[in-house]
Amino acid sequence: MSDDIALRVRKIIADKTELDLEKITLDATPEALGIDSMRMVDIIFELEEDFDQTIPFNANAQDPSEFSMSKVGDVVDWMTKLSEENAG
Amino acid sequence: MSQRRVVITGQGVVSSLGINAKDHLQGLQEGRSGVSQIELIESEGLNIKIAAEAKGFVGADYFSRDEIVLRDRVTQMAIVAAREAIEASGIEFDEERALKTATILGTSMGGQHTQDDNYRLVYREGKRRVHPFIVPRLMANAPVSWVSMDNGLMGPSYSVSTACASSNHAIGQAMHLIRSGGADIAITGGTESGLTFGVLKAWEGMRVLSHSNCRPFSANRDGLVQGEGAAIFVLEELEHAKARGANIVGEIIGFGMGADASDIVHPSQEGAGRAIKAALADAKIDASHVGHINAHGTATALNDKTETAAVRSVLGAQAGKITITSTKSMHGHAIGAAGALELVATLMAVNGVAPPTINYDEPDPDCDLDVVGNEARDIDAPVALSNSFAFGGLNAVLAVRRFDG
Repeated sequence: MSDDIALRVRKIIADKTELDLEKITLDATPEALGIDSMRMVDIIFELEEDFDQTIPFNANAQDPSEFSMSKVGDVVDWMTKLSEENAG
Repeated sequence: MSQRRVVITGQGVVSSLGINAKDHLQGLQEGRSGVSQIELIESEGLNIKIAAEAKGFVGADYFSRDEIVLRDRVTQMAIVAAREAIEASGIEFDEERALKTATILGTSMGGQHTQDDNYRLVYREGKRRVHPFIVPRLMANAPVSWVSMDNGLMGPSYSVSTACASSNHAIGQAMHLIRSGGADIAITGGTESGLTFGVLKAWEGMRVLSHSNCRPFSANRDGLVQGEGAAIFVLEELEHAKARGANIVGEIIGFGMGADASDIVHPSQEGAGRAIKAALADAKIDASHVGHINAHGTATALNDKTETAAVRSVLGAQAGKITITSTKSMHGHAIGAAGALELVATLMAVNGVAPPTINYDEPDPDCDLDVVGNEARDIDAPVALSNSFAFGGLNAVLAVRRFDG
């Protein structure tokens, strides 16, 4: 897990939730951060823009191969994976 | 004096299932899918590659080049469907009758092809001037204006825009206008043609579209599929229709509407339930009369579950006896035209055949009503409801009855 990527993800979530960066810990859940489904798609959009990646996410999906976020660390893993897969 | 009754004496359809009512109805009966690969626009750059395009509808088959210059596809569809409905009803308009005929159409977005094409010209291609007729082509009231002009109709006329509930609001208000004496006849329904790059991109952004198919009420549903089309009806006051010996296809007996007043996108069980209750009250019937429901049934995870809960809460024990179907599985979600296309399906149901919900793969315990899955079913349900619940929490429910004379 890249520290850089973790920090970028945490900063985006902190900005969108208007919470202090320290509160955005890797084991924090969306519920604990007050992230509802609308906020979630908004955050995903910001992540896509910031990382220039497409995140496979459908608000209706129950498909585990698609993006999910049970805690902040999952998002960092996803962004790390996508960045490696699509690098150069 | 008893209340004036409102009947339907003609219908016309343009959809992905057919470009007239007969073909559309046959599609519903067969459980045909109108969903396929996007072909009418360049889909390069879209992540979602499927939609329910009315591929058989080509404006040049109906309109001259000069006419097309002034009519967006959304208007062309409305005019063609209205002509079919009026011809089917056999009604002819002299001046006196034209003054008593309302034209009320639902459309969510108006002339989206015109908007998209011309934004592309100015923003991407850097054109410095645009065609002079863009405003009259894209305005949301263009379809209703052209239908009124096409038939010389001079009564109350306006367009209704309430996203996915536009058509039901339009049809419901047309019914109330005739009932109250404000008109004797109404040309009503809805039209939508928003399968453009810009609109599809916006819907992609919401993350609620399915990549694969529309599966209402099925446990494996994963979102809605966009569609386009128009369905237009001739509504008449009952004695007016009888006096001219019209063929009556059904009666609209009630209309209920209201707002969730809660969330801009999430549906509310209570709000949906209140609109269903209001439709029953307006029709002066109770839950035990309802035999079938044409669902809003978008195939999003949340809508179908919430709609099921709303139906259960209002219908109580009767919910276990009704059939329910979502024809969006076949003609897609035609947004502002959805309620009108679904009134066609609801009339079919009260007249004996419930159209199917195709792609019904696995029952969902959260959607535990009697879904008419995959194949049409013969039913005896003289009264049916048609639900529309819009983004923005605006709900509109029609109550329809078989006409037995």
